[in-house]
Amino acid sequence: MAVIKVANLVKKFGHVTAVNDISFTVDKGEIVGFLGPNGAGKTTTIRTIMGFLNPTQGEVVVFDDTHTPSHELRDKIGFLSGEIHLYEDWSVREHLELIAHIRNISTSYARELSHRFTLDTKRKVKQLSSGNKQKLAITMALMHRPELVILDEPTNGLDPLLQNSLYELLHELAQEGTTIFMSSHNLSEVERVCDRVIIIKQGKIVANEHVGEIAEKRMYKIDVSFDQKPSSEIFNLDTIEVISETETGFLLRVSGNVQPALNLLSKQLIADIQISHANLEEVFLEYYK
Amino acid sequence: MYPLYKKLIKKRLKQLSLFVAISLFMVWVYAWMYPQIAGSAQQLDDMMQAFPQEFLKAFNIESTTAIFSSFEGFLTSEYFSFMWPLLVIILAVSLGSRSVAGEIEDGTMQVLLAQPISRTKLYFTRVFEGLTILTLFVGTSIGSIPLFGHLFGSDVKGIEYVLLMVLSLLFAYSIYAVTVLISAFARTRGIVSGSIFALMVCMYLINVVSGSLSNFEYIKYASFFNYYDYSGVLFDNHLSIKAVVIFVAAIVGSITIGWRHFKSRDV
Repeated sequence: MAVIKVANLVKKFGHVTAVNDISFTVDKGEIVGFLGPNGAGKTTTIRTIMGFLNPTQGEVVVFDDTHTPSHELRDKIGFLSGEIHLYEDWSVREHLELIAHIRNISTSYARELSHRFTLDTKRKVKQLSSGNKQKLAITMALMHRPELVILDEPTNGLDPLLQNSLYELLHELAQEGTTIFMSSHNLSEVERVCDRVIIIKQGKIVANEHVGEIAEKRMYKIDVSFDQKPSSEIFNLDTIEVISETETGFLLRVSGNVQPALNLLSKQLIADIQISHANLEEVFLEYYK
Repeated sequence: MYPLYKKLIKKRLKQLSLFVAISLFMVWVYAWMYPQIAGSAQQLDDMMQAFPQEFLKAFNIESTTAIFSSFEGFLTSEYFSFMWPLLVIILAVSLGSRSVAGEIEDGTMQVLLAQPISRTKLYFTRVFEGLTILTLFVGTSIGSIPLFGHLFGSDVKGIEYVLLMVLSLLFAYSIYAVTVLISAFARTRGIVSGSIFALMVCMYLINVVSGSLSNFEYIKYASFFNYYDYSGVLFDNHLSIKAVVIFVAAIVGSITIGWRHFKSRDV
């Protein structure tokens, strides 16, 4: 079942088209990363899914349910905004109690999460660091054990230890069947956490693939040294880029099929060669060009 | 939505306490002052009668009113002509501008809308929050008048204060409702506050001009201050049905239009 279904979504603000005819689905139990540069349309898409914005055209359907009022569906959704805004004069506990009252749930899981994130519930929000505010916001998003979690840059402001803690939590939730849709700039995070990644650029989706497929199919790094170093002009294929050059060799980036590059190299006297898959960051940058 | 309502009221108590303290202080000062000047009341009234009728009408003072011969007359000229409306406008605008635009500007609207609450419930929780605070303010700022009057030995009226409270509540609610209406369309408090204060200044000037210049008398109907006839209530024990209808229409109309827009606007 598609937990999120976005169909031909267009969102305009005046003359500016923030999201330009995008379509994708997120199935139950998936962890999907939503990547894109600043201004690509990630937050606009997420806010439209949450019902904060109205689509200019197209449709967003959550839980495959077009009859239940959207606010009732939010009973099953946990949301973390990209920019954390809370009530500065309220304490952490007051925020959690308010959410618990609205959702008619106990605060026991919230307390458990607070402990996991080492969050002092007595402190007022204005006394918290940005990282602690982020922890509070994450707790507020997850405390009711939602079926769908929508996170906009969830690890902003978190130290590496807490990032790991969050990743573990997200994996636990996914194993319990929770669907997770998260936007991120942190590509190693997406590699580590997500099953699938959707890449958006200038309001359009440019890729929608499993993390493994993108990394494996697209790019390689070849670190080669030669007994007799040839000129860099031999690498005159569109798919090969010379990243750097040393006295004895080259560091190459190969996009797509690696065979033509290997054919070229095999004609030379190679002293040493290392071929590795490019990490997602390098793959990602390919889409930013 | 009661938990949210309770939290919002608690958040506003400090602000309410400040406004109540200011109004109580002013009433206490006037109640203390009046007996001091009551002895010269006749002379002061004769002096007021020397002013042009149009000038007095501009401040909702009928020329036949003996301003200084009664505690209520004194309050009419000193408190209700300017200070009390000013306090209530500031409070109503502060509450109304935060109701929608303020939450959007602060980013906390998303915190609320991410919960399983309908926009209708959220909107009306904010509206009732403001109405509650205004009711408490009006109740204490006007209810305290006869108490302080008695305390300092002045003769004070009775049922007229109940009618005045009703009229004052409607006046306060109207300003608040129009503020909420603009707040439902705006994205920042500044836009709301600026618009409403400009509107109130215009309405005040309309009331002054219509009272001073007989050729422009007809424009008074565009001003809330025209319908806020505190003199008529205090001296004639008369609460105008027209005023009640106008205020109720303004309240219901503004809140309804604001609600309809908020339900579907981008946040």
